[in-house]
Amino acid sequence: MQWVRAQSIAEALSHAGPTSRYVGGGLSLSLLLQRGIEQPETLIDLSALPLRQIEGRQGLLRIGSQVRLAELSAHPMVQSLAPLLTDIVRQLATPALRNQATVGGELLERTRCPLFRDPSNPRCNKRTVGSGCAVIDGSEHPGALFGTSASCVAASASELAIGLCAMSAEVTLYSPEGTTERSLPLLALYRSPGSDPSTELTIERTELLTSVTVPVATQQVFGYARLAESPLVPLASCAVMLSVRDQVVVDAKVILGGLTAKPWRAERCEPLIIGQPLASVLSDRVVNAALDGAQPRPASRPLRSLAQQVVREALRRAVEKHAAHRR
Amino acid sequence: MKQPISLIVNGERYDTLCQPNLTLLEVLRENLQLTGTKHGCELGECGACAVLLDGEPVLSCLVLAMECAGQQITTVEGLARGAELHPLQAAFADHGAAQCGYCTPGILLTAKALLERNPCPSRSEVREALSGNLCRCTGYLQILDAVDAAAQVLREEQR
Repeated sequence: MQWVRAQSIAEALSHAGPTSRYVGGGLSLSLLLQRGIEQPETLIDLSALPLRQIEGRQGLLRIGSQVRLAELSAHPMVQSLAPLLTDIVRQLATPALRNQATVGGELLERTRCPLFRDPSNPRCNKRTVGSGCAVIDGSEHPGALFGTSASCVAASASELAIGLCAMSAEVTLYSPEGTTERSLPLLALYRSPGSDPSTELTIERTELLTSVTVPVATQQVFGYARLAESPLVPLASCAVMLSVRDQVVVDAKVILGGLTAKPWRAERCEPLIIGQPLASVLSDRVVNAALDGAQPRPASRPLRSLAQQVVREALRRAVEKHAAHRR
Repeated sequence: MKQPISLIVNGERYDTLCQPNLTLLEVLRENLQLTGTKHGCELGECGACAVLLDGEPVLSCLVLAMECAGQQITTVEGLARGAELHPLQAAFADHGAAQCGYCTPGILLTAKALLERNPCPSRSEVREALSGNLCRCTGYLQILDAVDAAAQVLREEQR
């Protein structure tokens, strides 16, 4: 295994290959390296790259992928233009972890499924496709409720993605094969496991995520709620972003996390909110619609009521924030 | 393949060789024999392994040593001022804030970073700063009292 400290994006890309891994804060990767779950030949350190800036321009907030989570939540521009992100980061992990963890690393963190992370468990389709899934085969671990397959029920790890997807963020990527950058809606970065759960992402591992761009809209209010087993392991979370005019919701995004195989857009719920008076979004009909598409297994059935709680709470907080803005 | 690395720990430069997948905790304890930093959960949950990297707390069990080249690392061995305890160490002793002592190095360093950033923290700011450091012995009250007492000593020293 070799360590390369890249001095430019081009140099980082030149070392990228099937057996390389990029290192941002290195926290999640380090744990997988210690357990032998990741065994790359080359580690490409991104810390010297100019990817640690936060810039606001023409209604967009551009966040470099190497910005630390602590820097993100403390940045005045983020606090004023994207307070949802501040809200999420402050509830995420612990202060020491937030000092080291990067935005890019958090977005690309591999699943926290304990059976995936347990090298003594031989049955994990995510580690070895075709080996089976110890969770589906009877573990007490609940797994995810949404977006799972017959091969894998692992939940996605990123909490920041829940908020960024609610804000319709895009990511910028560089590929070793191309010299120009490309953009992708963040929601499209993630995939459901299907029959090949070996990756959670739609991009190649050699692609380098350099920044996240968030449109900033002044008419929006947000709500975020989270239930967690520990600071590191969310059980269920929900981010809601509402655009409101004259007390009527004109646009809505409801994104679920924690118990989803990827950031999960509650598409059947959003049409029930759009065009409706703000006061009506807290109905049972809306909350239940957010859970349409859930695929509970016996062990994950209790998560359904947790999901209902976080959706209701996130909606309530959004409504409350709107009322506070008007005061 | 081992690679050369230079680490600056408590103001001193250490040159060593390490595999790129080794954590800072492993290199501090095994290569540099600085065993004051403790090995806890290895999951980022307990804070026992906290050290300062350029003045901010990080968890050395999850940070790769190679990432730390060229940065200022502070461990508990670097806290005392010669033969004199740092005010935080003295306050922890005075208030019974260290019982088994396993969590103490991580808490001392985390509190040091807090007091350098915020010399007069409220009780809730101390709680928030130490929220990633678990202690199974004290029930935390003595620790919070000790940080308050050390903050006062440090403020008086600044006058």
